[in-house]
Amino acid sequence: MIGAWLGAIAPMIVLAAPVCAAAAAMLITPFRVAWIVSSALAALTAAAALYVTPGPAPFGLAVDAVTVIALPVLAVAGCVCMIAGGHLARADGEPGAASAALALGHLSWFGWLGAAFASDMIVALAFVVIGWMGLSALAALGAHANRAALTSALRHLVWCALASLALAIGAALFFNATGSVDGAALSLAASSATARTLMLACALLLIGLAALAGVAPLNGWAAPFYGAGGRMAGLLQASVGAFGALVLLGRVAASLEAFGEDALARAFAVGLAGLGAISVITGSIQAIGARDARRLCAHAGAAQAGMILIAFATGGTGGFAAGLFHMAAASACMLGVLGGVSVLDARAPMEGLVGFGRRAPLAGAALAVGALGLMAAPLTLSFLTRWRLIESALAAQWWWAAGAIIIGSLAAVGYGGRLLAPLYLSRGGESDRPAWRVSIAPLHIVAIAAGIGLGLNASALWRAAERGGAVLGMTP
Amino acid sequence: MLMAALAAPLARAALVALSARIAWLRDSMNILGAAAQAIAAGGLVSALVAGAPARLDLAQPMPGIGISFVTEPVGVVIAAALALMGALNAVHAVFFQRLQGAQASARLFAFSALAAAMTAGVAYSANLFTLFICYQGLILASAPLIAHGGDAAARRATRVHITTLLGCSIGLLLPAIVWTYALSGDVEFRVGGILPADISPIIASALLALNVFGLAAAALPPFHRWLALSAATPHAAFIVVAVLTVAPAGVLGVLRTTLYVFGDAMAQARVAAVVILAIAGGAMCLAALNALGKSDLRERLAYGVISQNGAGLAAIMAAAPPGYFSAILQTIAQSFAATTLAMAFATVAAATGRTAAQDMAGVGRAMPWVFAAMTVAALSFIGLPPLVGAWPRLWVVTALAEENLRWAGALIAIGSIATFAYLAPLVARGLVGEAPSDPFVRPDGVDARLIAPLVACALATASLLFVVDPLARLLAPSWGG
Repeated sequence: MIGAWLGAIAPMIVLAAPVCAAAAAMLITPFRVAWIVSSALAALTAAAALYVTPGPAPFGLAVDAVTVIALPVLAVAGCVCMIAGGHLARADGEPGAASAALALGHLSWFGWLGAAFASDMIVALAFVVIGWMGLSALAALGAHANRAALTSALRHLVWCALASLALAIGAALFFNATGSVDGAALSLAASSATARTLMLACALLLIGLAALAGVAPLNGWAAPFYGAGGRMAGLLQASVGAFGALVLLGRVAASLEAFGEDALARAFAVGLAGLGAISVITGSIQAIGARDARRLCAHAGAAQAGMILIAFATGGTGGFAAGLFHMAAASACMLGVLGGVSVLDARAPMEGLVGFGRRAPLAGAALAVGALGLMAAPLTLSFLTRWRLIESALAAQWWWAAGAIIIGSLAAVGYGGRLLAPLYLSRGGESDRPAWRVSIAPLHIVAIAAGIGLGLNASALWRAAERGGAVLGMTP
Repeated sequence: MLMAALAAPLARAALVALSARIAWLRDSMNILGAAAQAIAAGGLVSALVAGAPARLDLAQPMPGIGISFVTEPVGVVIAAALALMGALNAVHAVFFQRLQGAQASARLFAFSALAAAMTAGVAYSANLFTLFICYQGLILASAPLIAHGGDAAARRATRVHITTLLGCSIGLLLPAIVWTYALSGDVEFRVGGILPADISPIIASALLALNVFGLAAAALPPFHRWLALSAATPHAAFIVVAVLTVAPAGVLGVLRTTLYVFGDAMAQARVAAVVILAIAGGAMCLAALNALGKSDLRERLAYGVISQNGAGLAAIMAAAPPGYFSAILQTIAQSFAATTLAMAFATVAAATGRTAAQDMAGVGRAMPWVFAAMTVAALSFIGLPPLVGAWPRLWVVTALAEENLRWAGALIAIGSIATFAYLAPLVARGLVGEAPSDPFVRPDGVDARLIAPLVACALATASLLFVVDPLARLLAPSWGG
């Protein structure tokens, strides 16, 4: 009975708590108290997200199996980012603007969480705009310490505004063709609507979402944003924003299945996989050449997102399940790497990692687990998810897509190794002071637990992904 | 017992690392840990002979895919042989490092133990998933060993080692494993194989090629350079990488996947098997010829191991019971002989400072025990009867003749002659050559504790001959015999 009650109110808590946390951050003084209150609310959000079960949600939203797997990932990752955010906001931003930064972080998180609940495209668009605008503003607050933050925020703003425009036009075209903005209505409309209009609508939706998710080559904003946009903004974008957009992208890709054997639909799926492959290869090459750990993450994130796109394009329960499964792993990797380097100063050149594992054992461990995850080393969650990705590509007999995933994995050995090698194999470094921040510790612990713990037993996560995949794969 | 065989080297690594600053404790832990692993591995052989196989399920990361270990004849026998040699080498390594006054012994011993643990994991793995995990662990654990020298050559060797082995395992072996899973719905090792016997010949051939080249630790060309370059590492690390862990694990991996994944489906992979057989046979000859031109003894032995691995892989690709038996016997005989040779080269280097083949003339007069051991090992390595190294050659030629692959048998014969050419004169010159007039680095010779494990290795190599028959009986069920 308690479980059912918790399940019923959990969606409400998930949506309300971040807004309350944002309000608390703005209204409560001193900042330390506001931070503690907002962190408690963030923890409440994460806990509630674990209790969300399929069914109706407040404000006309809906919870399905996709929400059930996406929400805990977005909520837990966001929660630890918010707890760490108190310290990072103070360190990166204007002294008086720490409260605003924390509030913006919570609002952005709220946007991405809401997007996971969205039952139609207009609602999704509304939440997505809240999500990315919060991030842009958050990055801009870092201009006090680093002028490059303002440029990166402006670039993020322009790219995301264009992406949102594409989403809005896509949703309008979709409505024009089907009389609905609900993706599930596509099957009913497929016979009556003009296939080409729907295709154009879906293409715009996918391009918009891919740009928001940081898929290459639509990610011109990503490297500067991660590199100079502030540690909190980078963390939130990498572990929450990117995957919030990818969840929506999965839903749109799933709606394409409505076209069944239609040649256009198949061509579209191949195009989606092609974009994924380009993202994998471009992201991998750029990551190998990156000189800054945070910029490396932006490119590595593009490579990971590309793999997810390929899985979505293969379609069916297996493809979508593999994509959702990998999303959780990629989020954990990003938390690990970016969380690890977040104890460094605002910039994180690769040279700064020399001996980092000795100076900051916990952060070093999180970074190592994240890097191993990017490399898909055995016993990490990413290894299992990579397995499923290759399996889904082989099942669809898309050998080239499997090849792209394998090439991405091989390249990840290169850039993951670049992160890993200086950590323990080299001694010393520019700074010998121990880097330890209690507030960032939960982030490191979650990254390590997710990367390694789930690598040893991901059965529950895989089953959740399968249920989500079944919902998407069977979208008529 | 299975848990002990897997945990002993891990505990050894941890204890050595913890006692790094207390030399006598660190060295004791290293020797005791290696001995414990050998005893546990021997116990597993006894248990298997008594008809008591063991299984250990550690975790189940995904439904139907677990991290599990099992005792089956092929893995258990080879793991026991490697563990025994590992224990003798641990004793040798401790006194060699002391004699040399070498730095960072704890790191060397700890990573040697980790590599031994991962090799044991490859041998005892119950499925492809576990094998892959242990294999990747082995690659990572052995990298610091190759880098141990710390100079530019060692760094280059490490780079090649990691990129070749990790690249092949991720780029070739992992897709092969996932593809196998997609085809059979299973990754568990089973006698007779898990792939459907009526699998398409194209797919079977592609899968076999992915498996064999994916396991690049076997050093099959074109992925053999990592082993040749590993000669740049110090003696103690070289023995572990080239003789006791990485290289034998590669052949063992190929052997186990061929027997327990392909099984009957090997008939469908005939095209790939013949191509790989040709490459392996050619590699055996060319690597042996290459060894002939190498002056540095470690380099010569590295090419020798590539050559001997070629013989083992050729035997596996014959895909017949005599071939499988030959490959197992070859792996065991090779590990015994190569360990003895490598330890002998290290001992000579420690005593005389000589590492080049042309400087060995007459050294046997000053170091009779070392050269006696070296002679036994060299004769077995060459494949001269009655030593055990001869019998795998005989079996593989029989298997190849039965399969109408006489040309491959000829390659094996040429390879053996080339092996004779690069080893026999070396030993002969050492024994009968004129005693060197220039002084040795250590005119008083080396500690008896450095020679004792070497002589024990040579005795083990010589006495292996007497276990061939019981070994054949123990192994027969592995190919349904």
